[in-house]
Amino acid sequence: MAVESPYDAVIVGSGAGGAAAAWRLCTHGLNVLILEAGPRFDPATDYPLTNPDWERRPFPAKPGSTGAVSYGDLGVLEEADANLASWNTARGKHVNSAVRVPSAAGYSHVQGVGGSTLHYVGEAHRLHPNAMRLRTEHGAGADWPLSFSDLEPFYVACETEIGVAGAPAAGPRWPAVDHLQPAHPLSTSARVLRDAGARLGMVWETNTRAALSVSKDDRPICNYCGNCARGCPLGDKGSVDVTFLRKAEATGRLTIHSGAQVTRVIMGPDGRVRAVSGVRDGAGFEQETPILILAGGAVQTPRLLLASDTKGGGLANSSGQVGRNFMETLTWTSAGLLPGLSSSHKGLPADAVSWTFNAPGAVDGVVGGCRFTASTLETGLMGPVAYASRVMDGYGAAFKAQLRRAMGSAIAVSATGETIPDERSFVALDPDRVDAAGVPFAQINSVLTDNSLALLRFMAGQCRALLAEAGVPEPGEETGVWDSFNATHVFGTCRMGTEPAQAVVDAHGRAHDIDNLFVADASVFPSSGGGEAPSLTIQALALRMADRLVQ
Amino acid sequence: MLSISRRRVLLNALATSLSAPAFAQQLVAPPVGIDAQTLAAYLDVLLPADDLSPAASALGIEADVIDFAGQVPQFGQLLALGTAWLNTTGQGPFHSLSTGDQGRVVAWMQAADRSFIPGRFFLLVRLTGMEFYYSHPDANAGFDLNPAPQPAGYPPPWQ
Repeated sequence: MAVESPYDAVIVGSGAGGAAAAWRLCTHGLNVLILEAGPRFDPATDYPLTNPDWERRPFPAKPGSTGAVSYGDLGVLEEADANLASWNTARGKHVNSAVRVPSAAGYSHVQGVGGSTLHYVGEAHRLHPNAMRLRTEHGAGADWPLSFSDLEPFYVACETEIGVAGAPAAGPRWPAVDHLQPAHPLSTSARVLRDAGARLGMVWETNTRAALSVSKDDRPICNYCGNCARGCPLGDKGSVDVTFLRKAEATGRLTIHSGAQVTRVIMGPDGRVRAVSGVRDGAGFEQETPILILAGGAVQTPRLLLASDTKGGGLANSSGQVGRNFMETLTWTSAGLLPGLSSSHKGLPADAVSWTFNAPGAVDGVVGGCRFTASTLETGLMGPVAYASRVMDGYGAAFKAQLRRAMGSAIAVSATGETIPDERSFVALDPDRVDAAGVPFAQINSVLTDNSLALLRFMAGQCRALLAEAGVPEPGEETGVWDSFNATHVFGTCRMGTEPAQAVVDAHGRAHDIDNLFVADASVFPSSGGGEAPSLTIQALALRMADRLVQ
Repeated sequence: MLSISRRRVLLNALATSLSAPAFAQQLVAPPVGIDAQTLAAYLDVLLPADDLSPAASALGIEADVIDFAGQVPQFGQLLALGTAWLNTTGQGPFHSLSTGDQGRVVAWMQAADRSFIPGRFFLLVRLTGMEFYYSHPDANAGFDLNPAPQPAGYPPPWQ
């Protein structure tokens, strides 16, 4: 059936995957329309880092800048693991509940032109090659239907376009590193953790970071303000608004409609996608397209597919896997004050990383891996508000003097770990809540399994051991996902695989059921990896998909 | 991972702390409003003037806290009940007590059970007061900090 559209492809969502796909398709000569539900952000005016009260200002919230998300079953808290509770010196225990609750941030994301890359710190990670063969090698989860070597050229392409700095250790994950920019210098707290880790048998190295150490494409180098997560006003951070989207728009072939919420995918009589419909500026719209790429992330993409089927089963869902296999990330952070340490509030967040326990099977008795990161800046311990309201107690003149002396002595280490798909963890349509457009909320259900709890215990123990080895007298704050859902990275809800009965999309992101429907976000991940930040893998997959699409 | 959103964390901390059923029952409709003078005096015990920075009241922190309480009605109730309780601790309103007497009351509150209004008032007013105070540029003298992270950043080397 002929489709009337000035565009060769329509992409829903402008985050890591949507932006990378758009750029690649535009360079191939296609005309692309991105429909982005959220607003545009202007780094010069929206990011608060020149304001004296900067510490009170997080990444800005704008109308429409978060998706409609609710929470179902997040699990119950067993007293046996009470030492995994989140707490800090100033507040005490954070959660007083018998069940796991969403944190203040919950599913932490940005809906806007650039997506969650706008507030990410810019870690640029490649998956561990063995993480893609979890089912074959460990009998759990699912294998990827492609190999690391299939993906590696696309990693190189993304790293080159974005500008990634780092000096990773040689190994199967990094067959070549010549295209990387020079590594950033390590902050004072990262150096302490590197040395403490070495004494504990851990290898620490400079993290690969999408933050420029050499200017590129009129973007300046990083000046180490430490606040990537509040939005980068300089443009050295490789968020997609200043990389893929800017380059795609420069081709003259990309149109972006912000504030355009797609509420339904419309099928034609031939079993192919005909159009999408939605709401923009309060008015309904319908846009026909020959190719539809969904890139709203592992929560909003299954929501749209489930909500689009008037029969209730969900589009592209003959496998029954749309919304299933939801994977959150396990996180743990231990922080404290280290007497004698100074200037720890200066530098690049997440500047050092340890992959020692990243390979699946690297932790005894657990399937899946984890990684460790120097996180003093990433967790916001960089100003007096954070010190006074988190890791220090007391009051009065003595407290004020003590706070001045302590500034720069905070140190934090974080671990990020893998979860394995479980039938109790999924995204569904909320039966009770709908958004202003009448679309049911995406309801997240995510329960920590015995395997997840075992890995979380290991992560906490290792973080505590690192701080102790570094010389921290006692932690001043510990936070983790045992008592609160706090996922920045989520995966798996439109799993890729070779078998249509078991997967939603194939190895190139094309829906098994609908041949002009593609998915370009982390919902296609069959496994999450051992704590790697996913944006680079999402982008590499999107480029690979785009190349196949134009063949 | 993300930097912690201060405002959301603070709102969440207040909501969590104030909504526990056993504590929420104590937040009966207060007979009087928030005593701003007493709140200012209380905050000055937490954050007095010293050689480098002014007292909380000199920066109007009590007004910031009261304004913020408008977003969390239960916090407003806690401020009203807490300042009313403070005014019962001596001969006359708290703000009229001697510095020594004020200090003894606050020291007792710091150690008090946080399941009850004096202890919970100490916890939450300290959190909000510290946040507003140290967000003020006049409070940051003596710190090894730029006025804001940008535009200068913190170029290396760092020792």
